[in-house]
Amino acid sequence: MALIKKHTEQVVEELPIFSTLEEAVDFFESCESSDDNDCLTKKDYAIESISKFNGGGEYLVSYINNETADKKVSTKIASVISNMDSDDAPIEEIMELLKLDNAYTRNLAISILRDFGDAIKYYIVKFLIGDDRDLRIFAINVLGDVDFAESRDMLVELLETEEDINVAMTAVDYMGEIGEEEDILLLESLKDRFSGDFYAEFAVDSAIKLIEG
Amino acid sequence: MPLVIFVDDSETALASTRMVTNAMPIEVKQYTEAQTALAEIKAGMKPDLIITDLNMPVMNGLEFLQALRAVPSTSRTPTLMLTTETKAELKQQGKALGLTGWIVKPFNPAQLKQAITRVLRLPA
Amino acid sequence: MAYLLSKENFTKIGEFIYRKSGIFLEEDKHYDKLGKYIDNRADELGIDNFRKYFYKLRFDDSDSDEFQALMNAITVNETYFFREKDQFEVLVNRILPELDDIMPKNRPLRILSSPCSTGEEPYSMILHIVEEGNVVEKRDIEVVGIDIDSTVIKKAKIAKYSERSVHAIPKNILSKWFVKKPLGYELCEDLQGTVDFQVANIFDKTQMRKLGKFDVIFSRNMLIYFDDASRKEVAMTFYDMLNPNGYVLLGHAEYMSRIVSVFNAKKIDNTLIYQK
Repeated sequence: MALIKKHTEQVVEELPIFSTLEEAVDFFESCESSDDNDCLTKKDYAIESISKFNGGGEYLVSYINNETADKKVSTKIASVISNMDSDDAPIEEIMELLKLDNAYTRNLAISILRDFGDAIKYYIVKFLIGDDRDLRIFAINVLGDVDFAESRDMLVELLETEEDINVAMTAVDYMGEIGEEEDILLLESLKDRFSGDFYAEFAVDSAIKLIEG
Repeated sequence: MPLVIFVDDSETALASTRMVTNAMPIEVKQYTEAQTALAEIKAGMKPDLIITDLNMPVMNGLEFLQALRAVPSTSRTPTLMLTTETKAELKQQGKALGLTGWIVKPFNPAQLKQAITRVLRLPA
Repeated sequence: MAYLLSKENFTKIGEFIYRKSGIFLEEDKHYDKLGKYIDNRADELGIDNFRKYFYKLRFDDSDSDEFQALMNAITVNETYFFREKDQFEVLVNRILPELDDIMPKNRPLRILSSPCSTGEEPYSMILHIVEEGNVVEKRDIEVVGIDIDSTVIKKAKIAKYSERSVHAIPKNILSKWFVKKPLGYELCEDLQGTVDFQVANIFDKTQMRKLGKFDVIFSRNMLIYFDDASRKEVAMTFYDMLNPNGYVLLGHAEYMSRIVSVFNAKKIDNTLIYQK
């Protein structure tokens, strides 16, 4: 036995080329992944192909949305969608996933959307001023990640009136990073708005310390 | 001293819990991802109590809990969820995985201290 | 000497860098280096405080040049033999023996180095493998090195290295497996050709499929240069390229658990490795 000293040609199964979405979907559905490595490879290939067809993105999202979805397959789908052009990506459909109770699917959707940055700015603004507090938190997390030039202004505006302590503190965390000296007064005022709350005091003080550098 | 581990993707949240546990007779380790904590557990770390956030990227608190239960050394380790979530369905899922308690953020320091003291049976 | 970078600001910029590149900075390892770099850069940019530098990095860096420059400054880009050598030790002392036990005996164990650059990493694997001796006695081992840059692949095939490149190789191993030349060292004939070098692009799925499946993949300090979406894509490509129970190893400061959840993170001899 030894170190192999030549280039060895690998025997690799030929994978079909699909001319329609249906063909690609059939191939995708032709095996049960569970723990079968060959099946996973087939599905990976099918997912890449499906994403290139019209309507493919929507099909992929519907798979993630299924209770019985295989996590490895879902992760691959998430990665493929993340790399789609924002014009082709099924962004509306992914937004729908944010309303689900399933923490895993919701977090997966968030991780996909985070990669679209600018393309979802419109939605981020919508969430920030919306009624759903979980979506406000999500929107703030995206702001922190994508660095819109307007991120700080948006957070300041939110903090001026935010009543939910968890939403406010999520914003405060980011203010620590992107806030300016002139924001310190606003931050201090949050301690009054949420007076007596240990976490609010702690988070605000931490943020102010970071801003003061 | 009993070992308590905290998992939360927010550094501020972790820092705030340190304020609470500072003067307690416990050893504390903190992680910003569940998988790193899991790797250390599989490599032999034996926490006496695990306190985790729910909404974290890549591996959330419930998935972490599920993975912990599959490891012999942590199949019965007491676990607390420390989260902004309050949905009954999520609490049910936690219960089914043997979760000891659910503390809603923002947490009251006395409440957190009390929960840790009770679970670990520390002197009052 | 006080840097523009305070300890608090170190935490702040550290979190930003972690989110953007997956690199985790530690105060005792990186504070001084980063402090000096930022002082220099601020000077060049004509700015006098950390906030302005950080603002530029976050909001005024449309083509990512500033961020890239920062990354180049804080990561050790140069490749040399036995860099982060505990990973090679884990490879030959723990991973290969384990895989030798569980993988079918009728095929070689295959290891991929990506990117392999001028060959120091895959040849370091080879040196550790032949020095350990036991596994390679029992079964065939194949090492493949890929890089998108054809010039480095060309150099890798020639297997001639400078003093700088071999500085971390213990003297006895150096004299055993290398021939001293006027301009440096050349890998001895016995080990020439033991790495299959190929020009390949990790994002080209067809090329990657043609390489076949591997049991171990080393990809150190490559993912940190990609954006989140690309990082996920490559992580999933690695997952697909691995045989079940195979391993991926990243650079010491990189964390797969920030990228995708499909791997099982394992800690062995203080090294984090990721198993399929």
